[in-house]
Amino acid sequence: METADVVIVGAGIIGLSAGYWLAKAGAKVVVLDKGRAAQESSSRATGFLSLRGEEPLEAPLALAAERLWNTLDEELGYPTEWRQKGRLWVALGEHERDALDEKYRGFLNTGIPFERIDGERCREIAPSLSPAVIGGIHTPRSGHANPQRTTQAFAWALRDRGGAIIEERPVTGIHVAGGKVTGVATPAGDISAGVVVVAAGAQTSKVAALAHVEVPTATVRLEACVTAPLPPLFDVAMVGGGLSLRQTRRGNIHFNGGPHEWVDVELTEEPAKPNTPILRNIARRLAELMPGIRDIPLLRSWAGVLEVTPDQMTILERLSDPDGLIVASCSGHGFGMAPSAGLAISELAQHRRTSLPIEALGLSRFSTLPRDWKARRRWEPGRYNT
Amino acid sequence: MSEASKKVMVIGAGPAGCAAALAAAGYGLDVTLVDEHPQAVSAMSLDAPYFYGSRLAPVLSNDGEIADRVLGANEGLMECLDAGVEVLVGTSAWGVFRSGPNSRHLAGDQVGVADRERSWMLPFDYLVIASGARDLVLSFPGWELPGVLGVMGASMLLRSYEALGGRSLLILGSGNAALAFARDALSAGLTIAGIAEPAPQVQGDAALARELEEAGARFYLGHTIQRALGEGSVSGARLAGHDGSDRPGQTIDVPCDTICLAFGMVPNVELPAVAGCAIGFDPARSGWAPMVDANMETTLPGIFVVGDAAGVSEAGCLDSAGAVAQAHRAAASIAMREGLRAAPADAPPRPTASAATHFPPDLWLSSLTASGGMDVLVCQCEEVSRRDLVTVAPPAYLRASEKIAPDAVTMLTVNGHPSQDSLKRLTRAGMGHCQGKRCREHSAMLLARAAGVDLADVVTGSYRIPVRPIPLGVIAPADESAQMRADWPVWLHPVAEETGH
Repeated sequence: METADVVIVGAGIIGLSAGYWLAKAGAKVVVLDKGRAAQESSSRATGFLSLRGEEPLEAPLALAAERLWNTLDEELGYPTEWRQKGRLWVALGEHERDALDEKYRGFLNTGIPFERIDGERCREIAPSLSPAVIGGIHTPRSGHANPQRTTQAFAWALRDRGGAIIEERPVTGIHVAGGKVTGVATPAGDISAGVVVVAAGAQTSKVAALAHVEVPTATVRLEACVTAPLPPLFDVAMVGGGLSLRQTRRGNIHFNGGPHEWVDVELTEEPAKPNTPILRNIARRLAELMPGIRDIPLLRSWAGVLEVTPDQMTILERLSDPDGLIVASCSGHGFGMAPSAGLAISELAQHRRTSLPIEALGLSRFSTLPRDWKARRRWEPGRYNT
Repeated sequence: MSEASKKVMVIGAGPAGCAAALAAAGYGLDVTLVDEHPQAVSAMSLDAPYFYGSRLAPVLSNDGEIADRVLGANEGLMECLDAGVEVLVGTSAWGVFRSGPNSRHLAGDQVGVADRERSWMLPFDYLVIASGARDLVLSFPGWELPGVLGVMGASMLLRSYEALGGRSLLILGSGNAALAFARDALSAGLTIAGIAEPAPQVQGDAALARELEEAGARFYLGHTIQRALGEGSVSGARLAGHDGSDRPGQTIDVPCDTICLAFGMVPNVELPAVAGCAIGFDPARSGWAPMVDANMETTLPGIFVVGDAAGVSEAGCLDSAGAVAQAHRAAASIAMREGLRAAPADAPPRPTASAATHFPPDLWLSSLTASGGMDVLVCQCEEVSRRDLVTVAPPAYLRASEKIAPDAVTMLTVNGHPSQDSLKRLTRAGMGHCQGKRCREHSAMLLARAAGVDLADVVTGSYRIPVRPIPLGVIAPADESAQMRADWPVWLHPVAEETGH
C-alpha cells in the first residue's frame, strides 16, 4: 500500500501551500485532487490579500500571510506576480459612501493604517476612476498576485522539495481506526497516513463527512471577467462599484462581483460552472467605474464554485475526534491567506499545534448553529442572489 | 406566421446557414438569421473570425460601400430576406446560454448578440449554428508582417469585401481551399506568385491543379517557407526544399506582396462549446468538432450545428452541397418536431465521414520547425515562441525572474493527457486579443509532440464567453433595470444576526 506522513485532499491554493511547507520540513506528503490542480475556487480567485482588519477572528492569520507574501517569490523560487501596492475601496455615489463610512468605522480599531480619502485623492491613486467616485478608503498595505501563477509556483516548489501531487485521483473514503485517522481510500487504492488534511474547497463538507465530521459550508457559483490588456492604469487591489478588480502585470483588468447562484456539488465530480448573461452587468459595472475604458474589449469570462462558511470566516482546526484530521476552509477568500494558512496546517500536521494565530477558527464556534441554517438564509442549491 | 410558432435562431449566413434559415422559414417557422459580416474594421483588426493579417484595403473605411458589397455578394442572404426571415447583419453572436446544472435562473435559452453599438439577448426554441470554419495557422519567421494572412481571411476579403490589399499572392498549401482560392484570385485579375507544398505531390483536386498550372500558377512541391521577406510589409518569401529531414534544402526567393496560409481549416466550435455541446476529436472532420446525430443535432436537444462548423472536409471546400444537405436535415428535424412535416428527412449518408482532410498538418509543422527553428512566435498577441511553449517558460513580462520548472510539460500531463488550459495559463499562449484563433492548433500540436502523446489525447483549451472580443460599453446592457443596480451584491449579504458573532 502507498504510504505518506500526510495526505492532503484538494490541490487548490490551500492544499498546495500546506503541502509545500510540509515537503520543505521533510515530511512525506501527497496532495490528491479529484481533477486538475487549482481548477475550482483557486481558478476563480481575484488574487487579493485581504488584511481582514475589521475581522478579529481572521486578521492575525492575514497579517502573518502578509509577511510571508513579501518574500514568497524567493521562498518558492517561482514568480507569483505579488505586488504590495495597497488597497483602495471606492464609493460610486451616495449609497456606496454610506457603506464605506460604516466600513471605515470598523477599520478604526485595527493596527492597520487605513485612511479615509476624498474622490480627488482616489483619482490620484487610480486616474481612470470615474468623476462619480466621491470617496474612498486607502491603505498602503496589502496587495495582489496572479492566482494561476501562484498555485503553480506552490505546486512546482512542492515537487522540487520531494512532495507529490496526484491529479484526477478523488478521495472516496477516510479510514479511521481506534479514533485515529489511518489513511484515505481512492478508486486507485488506499493511501495510509496518520494525518489527513481536508482542503477541498467546495467539496470540503463532503470530504469531511467521509470521516463523520460535519463542516458547515454552502457552495456558490460566481463569475469573473477579464479585459484585453491596457497600459498601466492602477496598481492597488480595488473594491468599488460592486466589483473587486486588479490590473494584472500583463495589463488586463481582472474583475468580478455581482449576483451569484447557490449550487450543490458532488464528492468526486467537477461541477458545472456556466457563465450567464449577468456577465453583461458585471461589464457594465466596470464601464461605470472607469468610463474611459468602455471601448476596451471584454476578452473572457469564466465561473467558479466556492464554499462559504456560516460566518464567512476561515475554519482551520486539527480535530481530536478523529485524531489526525485537519479541516481547512477559508470561506471562499483563502487566496491571500494561503501562505500562512498552509504553514499553520503544516505545523498542526507535524506538531499538533501551531505558532500561528488560529485559536478562534475552530469548528466549535458553530455548536449552536441551527441544522437548517442554509434554508433560513436561502443559501440552498437553486437559490439566486440571496 | 402563427403566434405559437417556435423561434429558430440561425447563426452564420454562409451556404449552410442560409439554407437552414430558408428551409425553416419554408416550414412556417419564425426564423432569425444572424451574421457578423459586414464587420467593423476595428473588429477585423482583432483577427476574428479570420486571420486577416492587416491586409485590408483602404476602401474598408467606407461602411456603406462595404455593406453593399458584402450583402450583395451573398445571394443566399437575399433569398432569406425575400422569404421573410428576420436577418441581422453586422451582428455577432458572442455567447449561448441555457438553463442547466448550476444555472437555473435563465429566462429561457438565449443567444447573446452584439452589433457595433449595443448588445442584446435573443431567446430561441431551436438554435442552428452555422459558424463556418477558420484557418489553421502555423508560423514562420516574418509571419507577423502585414501581408501574411489566412486563406479564409483572404478569400473573405477578396470575394465578399472586395478589399484584398495585395496583387501578387504566394499560397502555402495545396489542398482544395488553396486551389479554390487561387482560381478565384486569378479570375479577379491577381497574380499567383506560387503555391508551395512540402509534400512531393499536390494535395487537392488534380484537375483544378492542372487548370491553375495552365493559367500560369507555379507549384513549388517539396518546399516549405523558411521566412517571409520584407521590411514593414511582405515583399517576398524564401522557400526551402523539404525532403522530410531536419535539414532545410536549397532556398529560393519568390517575390510577392501577400502570403496566404492554407495549412488547413478547422470548424468554428466556440459557440457549441460554450453552450455545453459535447465536442470530440475527429480528424475526418478536421479536428475537434461537435458530436452530432444524423440530423446534425448536438448532444444538447434543440441545438444543431451544420456546415463547416460541424466539420471541414476537402470535398466541402469545393462544393457546398453537403453543407446544404445538412442544413435541410436540421430544418426538417425541427419541422417534424413541431408537427410541420410528417416524414423524416431522407436518410442521409453520414456527413463527411469518409471525406479526406489534411488534419493535422504534421508535414507542414515538421518542415516549418526544421526550417524556422524553435524561436518563432506561436502566439503573436502574447509573444510566446515555440520554445517558450514547450519549455513552459514564463511570459515575457516575467523574464527577469526566469526560472523554468524541470520537465514542466510532463507535469501538465495527467494520465497521458496534457492540458492546453494549464499551458496557456503559464505561458499565456492563446490568452490575447485574437482569443487563440491564430495559435490554438499550433499550440496543441506542439504540446502533443512535447508530451509524447497523440494529438487526440491533448485536453484542448476551454472556450470562453464572449467568443468575440466585445467592448465593455457594447456588451454592457443599456436597459439594465434600476432594481439590478440597487440590489447588486458586493459579496454576500450580512448574516451576523444568525451566527452570534
